[in-house]
Amino acid sequence: MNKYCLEVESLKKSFGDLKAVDGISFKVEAGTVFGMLGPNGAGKSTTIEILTGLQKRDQGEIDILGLDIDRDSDLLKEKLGVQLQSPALYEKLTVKEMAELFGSFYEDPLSANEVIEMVGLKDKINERTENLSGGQRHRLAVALAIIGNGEIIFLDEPTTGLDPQSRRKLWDTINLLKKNGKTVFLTTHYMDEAEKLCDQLLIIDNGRVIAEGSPKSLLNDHLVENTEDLFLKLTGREIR
Amino acid sequence: MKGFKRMFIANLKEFIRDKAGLFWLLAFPVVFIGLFGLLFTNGGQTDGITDFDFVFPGIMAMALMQLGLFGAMNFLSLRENKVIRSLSVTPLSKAALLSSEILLKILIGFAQASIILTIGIFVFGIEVTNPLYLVYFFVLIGAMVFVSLGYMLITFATSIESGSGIAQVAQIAMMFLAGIFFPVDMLPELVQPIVRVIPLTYLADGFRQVIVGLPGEYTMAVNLSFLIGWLMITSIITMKFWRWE
Repeated sequence: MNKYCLEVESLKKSFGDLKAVDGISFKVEAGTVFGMLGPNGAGKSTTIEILTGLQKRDQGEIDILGLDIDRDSDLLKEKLGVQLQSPALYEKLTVKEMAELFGSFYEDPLSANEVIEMVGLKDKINERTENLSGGQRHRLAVALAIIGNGEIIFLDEPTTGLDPQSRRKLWDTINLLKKNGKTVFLTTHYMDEAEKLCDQLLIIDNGRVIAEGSPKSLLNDHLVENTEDLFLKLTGREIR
Repeated sequence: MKGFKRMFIANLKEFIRDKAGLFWLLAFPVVFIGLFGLLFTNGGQTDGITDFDFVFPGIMAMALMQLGLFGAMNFLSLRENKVIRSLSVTPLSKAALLSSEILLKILIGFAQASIILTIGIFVFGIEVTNPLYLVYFFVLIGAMVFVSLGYMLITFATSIESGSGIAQVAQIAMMFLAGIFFPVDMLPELVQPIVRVIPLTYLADGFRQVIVGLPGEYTMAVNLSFLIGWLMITSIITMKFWRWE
């Protein structure tokens, strides 16, 4: 069995003159947390959008779970869970109703109660989504990404703009997903998050890979104390 | 279709829990009927036909027009708020997503029509001259035409604001040019060509014939042909220019 659940080779995507993704390649090992780290506009979201079928790539090879991203897109949707950057919810539905709705799209979903508990929203289970705080909405969006019981969970900047407590809760959820054998593909521009959560890191800037490896090996190889210093050393700029 | 039932229930809950939407689609036509009923029931009467007999079918048609034009705003809002985008990464088929929306709108059309008919019959003494299934057949055709027209208009909207603007203009233009409050021959010659193409003209004329038995401006065959023509044209344009995002 292939130990990699996702393999990307020379991926490219441009919007007019802007090269959003400029030939990136990487492999993601099954059952790990893989982090794509980079500043705003680095190409993280575009990569996730290509991998989840929201954008068409210009060039490059993609192998997800041994399936063809173009030909097997319907089958892939069963096997992937996706949280996009800004949580988009039916405002008049409750947390439980949202989870049940999304669960109904999949063949073998987790229970609504289970995922709501996993993201720490049990006390808000009957609350309408319009009444949730920003952090709670993000956590619900993550619940909707995991309810399908997919093999790979894509989380696009799940903690951006969240208060420290909400961030911690989401970190717990990501660790729980890993413990349950899921692969998590995470984008972030928070260095501490990447260091704490990820087994493997891919650091990108201007659509290109500038470093990759485990957080520990990256820091050791470049003789820096944290990924913030690493980004500064690699690009001459601070991450934003 | 996977997810169709849950999507339908979710849309229904969203509709019922949105008080403003409920008001515009269900209570507003009732208020309209009440106002016009009070204004016209003591008005002129010719050959046993009151002014209200003329206006009542027009209000039925107007309610379906509002359902189609403003009902589509809900989908536009889901599109602009990226809810549709979030759904499109799940296994839910787009056919299930859209058909659950359309079915709900048509059922709301039936509910609207039933409320208006009930008030018309029991409060204002409207006598329905044809079997009810004929009335509901026109309700179905009317709901489909205006739901399709509403979806066509939002394909050209780039924001919720522009979508509302387009729907408002379409609504006001049709309300005054379709002759639902007064006979179309009272309108200036200049606007007559517009009167003769807009779908509300034919739906109101059809309702006048099937509900209160008034002689129509057009034959039933003409009314149905125009309405089905509108349904086909708006469906084709909608499918060609439709945007999920």
